[in-house]
Amino acid sequence: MLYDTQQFWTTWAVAAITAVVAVRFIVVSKIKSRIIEESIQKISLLEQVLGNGVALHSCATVEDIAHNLEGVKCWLYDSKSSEFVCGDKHMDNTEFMNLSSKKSLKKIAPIYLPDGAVAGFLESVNHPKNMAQLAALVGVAITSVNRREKLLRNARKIENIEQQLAKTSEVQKQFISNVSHELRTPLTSIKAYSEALTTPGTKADAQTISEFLSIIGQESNRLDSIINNLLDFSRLEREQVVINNQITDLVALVKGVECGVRSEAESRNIKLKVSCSEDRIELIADDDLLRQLVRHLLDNALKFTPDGGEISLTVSEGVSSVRISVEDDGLGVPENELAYLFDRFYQVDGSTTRKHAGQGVGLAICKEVVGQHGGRIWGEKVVPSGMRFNVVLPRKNEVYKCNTEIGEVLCSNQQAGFISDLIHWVAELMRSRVVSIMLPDNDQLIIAAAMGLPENRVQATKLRIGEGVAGKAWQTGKPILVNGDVSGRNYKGDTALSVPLFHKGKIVAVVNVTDRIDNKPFGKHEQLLLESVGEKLVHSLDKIAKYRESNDQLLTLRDTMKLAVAVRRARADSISQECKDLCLRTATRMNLSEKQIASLAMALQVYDLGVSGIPEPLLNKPGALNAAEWELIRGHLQKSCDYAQILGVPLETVEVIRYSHERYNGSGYPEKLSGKEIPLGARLLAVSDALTAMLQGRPWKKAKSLAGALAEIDTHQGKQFCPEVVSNIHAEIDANGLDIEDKHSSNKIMSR
Amino acid sequence: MRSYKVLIVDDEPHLTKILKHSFEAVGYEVATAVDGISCLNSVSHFRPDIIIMDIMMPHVSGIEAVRMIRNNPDFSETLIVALSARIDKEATDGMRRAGADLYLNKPFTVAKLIDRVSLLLEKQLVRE
Repeated sequence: MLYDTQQFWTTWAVAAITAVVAVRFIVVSKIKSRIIEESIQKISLLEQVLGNGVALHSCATVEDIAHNLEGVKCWLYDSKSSEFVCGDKHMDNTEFMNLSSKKSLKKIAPIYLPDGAVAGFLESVNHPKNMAQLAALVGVAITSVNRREKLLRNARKIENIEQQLAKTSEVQKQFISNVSHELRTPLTSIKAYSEALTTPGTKADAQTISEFLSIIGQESNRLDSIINNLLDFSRLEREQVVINNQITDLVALVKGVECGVRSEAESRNIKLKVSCSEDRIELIADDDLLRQLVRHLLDNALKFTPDGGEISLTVSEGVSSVRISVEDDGLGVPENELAYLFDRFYQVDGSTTRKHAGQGVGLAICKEVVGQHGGRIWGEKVVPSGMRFNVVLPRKNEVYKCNTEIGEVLCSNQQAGFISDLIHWVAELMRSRVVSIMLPDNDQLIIAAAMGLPENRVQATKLRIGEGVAGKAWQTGKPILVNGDVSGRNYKGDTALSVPLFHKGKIVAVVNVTDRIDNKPFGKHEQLLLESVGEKLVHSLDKIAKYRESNDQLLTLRDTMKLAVAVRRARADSISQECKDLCLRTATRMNLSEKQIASLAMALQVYDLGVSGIPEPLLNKPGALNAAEWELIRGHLQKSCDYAQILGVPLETVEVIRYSHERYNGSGYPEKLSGKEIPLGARLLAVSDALTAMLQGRPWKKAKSLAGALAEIDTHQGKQFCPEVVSNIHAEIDANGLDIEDKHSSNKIMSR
Repeated sequence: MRSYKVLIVDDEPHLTKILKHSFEAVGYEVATAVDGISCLNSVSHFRPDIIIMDIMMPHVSGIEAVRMIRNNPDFSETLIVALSARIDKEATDGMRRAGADLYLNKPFTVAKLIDRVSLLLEKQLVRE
């Protein structure tokens, strides 16, 4: 039994084990088969994805990619409309957000580009599992399509450049060929006549000889004039000619030129009629160039007019332009060649028909001259025969606005932040709430940049040249200062100042300031300061134009301006303002030149910028300073000079700042100058600075009364201060007073 | 022996004048024309033995004039010397294709031009 029992158990065990193994086998094989199944499925998905990928990679455009995806919608982001686009369907951001929040309902997968940007997303219609991989592939495909397109674009660009170069070189070749033809023609005659005269055995009478010699002379002159014209033209074309604009009387000019060609006209029996609508027609132009223009027009007419013909020259004036017309009764030019008239020689088609007998570069020169004056030239056929050339020149040769670099910078949105900093800095210097810069737009001045004015006023303001304060400043080219209510215009604080800005000798803009913070009227000193600021402004705008590409220079300038505004705001109070005023008034009293006063006014605004570099605790440290600390304090002077230079203030201003810490007895710094070696402006600034400090008080020193401060200055005259300056300051205060609240009397001590 | 007839076609009056003077001095009968159109008239009236033809002329260029002359069977054998300040291939080839017998560049030596002209005329005489 025992055995049986054993056998029984064994049998059962075997059966059980077998069963367990069998069950496990079944389970495992089921799992295995599922894994295999899944693998196969994955592989097929992968194949599908890869197949898609391969198909995608052969797409030429991003749209093709979207088209190639089966069972999946491909929404592409369109940056222009800020929408997702799929075929002709659009989806804005809100709809997209709605869709992505319903993830459970519809599966979407974003398409990323390698730089992390989202190009769009895939939306599945029937839930494929491989959305993410597919989206990744689409991203890669879009990148490669974009890259390909970029390459193609570049290739096309290069092709264009190549074509242009080929065209340019063709034009050059044609030009050289034409020039050589033009030069050889008179040379041929000269050679032939001299040969006829010099060949041994030539039988020629005296009359023939003199005739031949005269022809040689004529042809030499012709050669000479061709060469001169060529040189003129090439200089004009390369803009190497300095246009010397001045008020020119066209009537006198035309009559002068007419005299020069009269003899040729008479010798050929050509009637030359000149008529001018007025006795005097003025415009602003370069009279030498205009003379050339008229001469070439007449020469051209003479060439085309048959002997015994007629040429008429008419000069007339319009409101803003003048017109010159020259008409001949020659054969004229075929209609289809009118456009080529002003090309040098017969540059365009290189045909062998001589279109304009020996025309050369005359009309090409005319075109350049007219272009440089901002005018227009054209030729037209006249009935029954002949040609008329018309020139229209603007009377004022000033089509500025964005034609100047400065104008361009002021109008550009790119530099808006910079311009705004610039204007704030001007406002701070002028202690004004309203600042505007105006540019010409045809005959009017418009506001290009402003602060303190409502936008609609900026847009609406248009001044005729000569109208209003700014218009007058533009017209006269001189600063204009207005106090009180002028012509119904109510300037805030009844004070306005307009200063024209010049760039390379040309007036380019007007800067206006109104509405003073302290409600005081502007005076001569402010005018001089604004003129000086104006120069600086142009300097800065010029810098922007110059360094448009490289930002470092601009950032430094911009930071310095911001710093200057901050320092001025932090340190501005009525005492320092009064002391500055006193300083400038004293300068006037001492008969400093306007230029000196302007540089002193500017120096007063920037001489302390370097102080910002001194650490606060040191600045406020009571008691004696050690050597190292002194070094730091002295360093601020160099810093102030550096900042001033970055801001582009005039050299004289920098000098005033540099020597403002010299002492009259030679014990100051940085160069230990003494007495009159120290520039007068610097000596004035030294007293003004000391007076300000004493009146304001310092952490280590109580504020003094005006009398006390002046007494202190008196004791240092001849040592620290210039006696002459001190006595003049006394005189100025005695004469006009000093409007300050005496801090001493209120016993106020500056905080430590 | 009759003198040879030469027709000089050029829009530069000074040049035609000196060529006329020089050719007449060595016994040629000379006619002149200032452009392609008047040249065609002269050819049929004057019936020159040889034509000296400029290229760059108003209205009808030298090349076109040569082509027209050659198109007329009466003048297909008339000698033509092209004379131009144009030295580019377009001009020289154009003249040759139109049927000019010789191409000379400006500026030239008059004596040499007369030599070449008489040489051409002699050759033609031999051929005939």
